[in-house]
Amino acid sequence: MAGTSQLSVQIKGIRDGLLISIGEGNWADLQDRLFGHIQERANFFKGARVALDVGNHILHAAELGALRDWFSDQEVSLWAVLSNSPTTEATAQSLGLATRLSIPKPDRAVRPLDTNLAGESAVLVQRTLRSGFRVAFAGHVVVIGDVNPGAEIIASGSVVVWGRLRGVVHAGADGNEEAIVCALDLMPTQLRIASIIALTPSRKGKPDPEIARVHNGQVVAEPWNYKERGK
Amino acid sequence: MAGWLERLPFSRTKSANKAKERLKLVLIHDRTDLTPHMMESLKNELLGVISRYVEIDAEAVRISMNQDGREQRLVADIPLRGATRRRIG
Amino acid sequence: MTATVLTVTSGKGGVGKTTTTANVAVALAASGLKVVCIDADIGLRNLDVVLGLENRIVYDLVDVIEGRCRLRQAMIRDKRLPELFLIPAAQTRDKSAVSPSDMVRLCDDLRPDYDWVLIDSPAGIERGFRNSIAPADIVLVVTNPEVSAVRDADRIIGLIEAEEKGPARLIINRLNPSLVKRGDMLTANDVLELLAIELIGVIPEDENVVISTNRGQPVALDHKTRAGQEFINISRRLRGEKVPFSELAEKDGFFRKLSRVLRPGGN
Repeated sequence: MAGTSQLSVQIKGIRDGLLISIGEGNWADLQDRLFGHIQERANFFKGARVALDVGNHILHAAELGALRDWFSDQEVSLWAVLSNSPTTEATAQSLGLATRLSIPKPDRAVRPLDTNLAGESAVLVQRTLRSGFRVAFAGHVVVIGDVNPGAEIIASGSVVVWGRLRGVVHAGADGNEEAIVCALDLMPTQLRIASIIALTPSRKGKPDPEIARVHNGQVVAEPWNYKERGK
Repeated sequence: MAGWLERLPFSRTKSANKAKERLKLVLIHDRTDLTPHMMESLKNELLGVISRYVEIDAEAVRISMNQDGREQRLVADIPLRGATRRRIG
Repeated sequence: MTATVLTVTSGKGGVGKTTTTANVAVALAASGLKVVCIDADIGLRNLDVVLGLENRIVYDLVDVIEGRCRLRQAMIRDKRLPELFLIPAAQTRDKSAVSPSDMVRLCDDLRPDYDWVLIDSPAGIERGFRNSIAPADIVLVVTNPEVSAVRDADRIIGLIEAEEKGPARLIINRLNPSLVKRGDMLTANDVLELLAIELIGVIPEDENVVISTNRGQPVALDHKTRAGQEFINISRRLRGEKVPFSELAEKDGFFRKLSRVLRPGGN
């Protein structure tokens, strides 16, 4: 029973680009309708930043991967997939997509660190960064809280996470290979220092604080051995 | 199985029986997303296809949706009209 | 200690999810286990009032998830059963405040320190329900022996399978023995035959349930009530004990005879 409703694909503008909402019905039919709609307006969509709300649809890696690839072929940037379904959400996160549109409310916004010392500027974020949250700062970034999968931190300096780091982090983003990334539990989905990308091995056992730094052209993670700090 | 059920002590002609029969139909249609109307079309088209190959006894055809645990089965019982003798030689 | 996460759902509202969650939690805690209940409704609070903890709420589920308080600050400890805790629902209308992965993370935080985490799902098939099953190890579906409840339960069972959280287990609530005898109510076996999933409890209609909610004293605290005893039995079955179904179900005649034939999965 194909949906005949015009409401099955709805597009609206949001602060961060476009939000496309897909209604109920057969996924294959709805996807065709979506693709048709976008192809008809290819010029409008080219280069656009799109978040897709799939509602209750249960989508697995094959479907979401194909969707993301199609968007990228059309030169549309699909950055988030919103869904009520735990299966779809988990799939989206594993593909590196954001799963919420969240922008923090003003009173919980980023606050600069107040320091009288001659030092480098850093921003202190005192909250857990959830999927979709993005911090970009010309300086160091310190987070007191977790960084969840789907959240992103880009810093020209170092990144310190007093919590679990499971999102995307890019330290030394302006090319500084001296930048470091520290976390109480270092498990990012993507980690870069300057232009070097790290592969995060799966951790066995309990989380321990670690520092990631560039050594001999590679990113290596070392345990934060506080007993030897004096050296 | 149905036979011995009817011999059990109390009466099943009351509303609970009706509820059960209605639910059986409703659940199968909910699960397969087929309305009774679509079932009719399905049945007619199925018979149409089969009759292109063999002659069927349309009166005696039984097509139903049955429940098998959490799964559904479309069961078609289609008697063929008297075997036609083949010409020999 | 690693907790088992159990979610109680139904599809249709008003069939007894919250009563079931509260009472199974009480029964588990009364046997010495450490239990946390979570009221996962978004916008309406129910579990607190059934447990009698409504006047001690300071923080709620959304406060925890949005980082306004620590997890332990939102947990209300029951004074009668010191190993029973409640995280109340938020009274927000923002349906997107909580996502499935938020619930998974919350339960991951709780797992090391408790034996059971029980989640009371809201009715329906939308986000609240999906959030609730996301972290589940076991999903229970509560239904009544009544046409629309069974239909909705069937739909929910299908969705639970589709979200790869199945197979669900069934609780039939509010079985009325006299209506069954008159042939005016579906029997437990009827419901079991239609829904074809494993049965974990049959709770008879019992006025003590309403009385206990009036008082904020869950009926499972009193094993002398029929409903209370069945909730205790459910908690024992969840822990792996083989507890026969109550004499109520056996007395209706069908249950013992048919259960061997109609056990889901055939054979």
